[in-house]
Amino acid sequence: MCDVGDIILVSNYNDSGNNIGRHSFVVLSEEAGKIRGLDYDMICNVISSFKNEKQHDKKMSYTGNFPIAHDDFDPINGNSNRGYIKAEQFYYFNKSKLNYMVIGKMKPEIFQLLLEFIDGLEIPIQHIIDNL
Amino acid sequence: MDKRYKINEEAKEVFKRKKVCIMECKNLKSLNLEKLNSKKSIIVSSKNALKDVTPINWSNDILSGKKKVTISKTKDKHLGR
Repeated sequence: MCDVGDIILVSNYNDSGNNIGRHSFVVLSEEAGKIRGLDYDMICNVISSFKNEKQHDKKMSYTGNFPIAHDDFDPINGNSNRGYIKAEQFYYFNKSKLNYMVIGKMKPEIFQLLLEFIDGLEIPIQHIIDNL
Repeated sequence: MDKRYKINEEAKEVFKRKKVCIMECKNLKSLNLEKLNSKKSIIVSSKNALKDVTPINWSNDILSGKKKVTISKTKDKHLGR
């Protein structure tokens, strides 16, 4: 079970049968619906970290990226506390087919900021439906 | 002030703050897809969408469920908008 604003870690993410690793997402919606005839019951944005300062500056110059910080700073495993959400990419999931765990939450006021940020985007929204 | 009274008041305050936080979390508005209908949209593959995503290396405490992560916003100046 998860709620809107939760941070989930998706294991064994599949793309046309190829495993493309574990990725973290923020849950934007839990309303069921159909896209291109496929059922979904969750829409998420993916969360990414920065490889280095140069990449940070490059990524933050892009209109669709929403900067975030988290409280799991761990210098031993090289985990920085900064990252970004790719706000223009909507990942559609069917929870019954998804292997995920809830690992945390976005602060409510920051989640509302993210929704406002998405509303204000003037770039095409990218729908990712190949995991349905 | 009576020490027990003070502890009791502090506990009440913590409970009040937790209750407000739980209420805020439960009342989160979700994404309004209707509002986004006017925007141009395209279908892309996961492979393409995830090609420049660097997964976060969560600590063992997060991965084992011992600790939950909280996400906030950085003070980064957003250069794009």
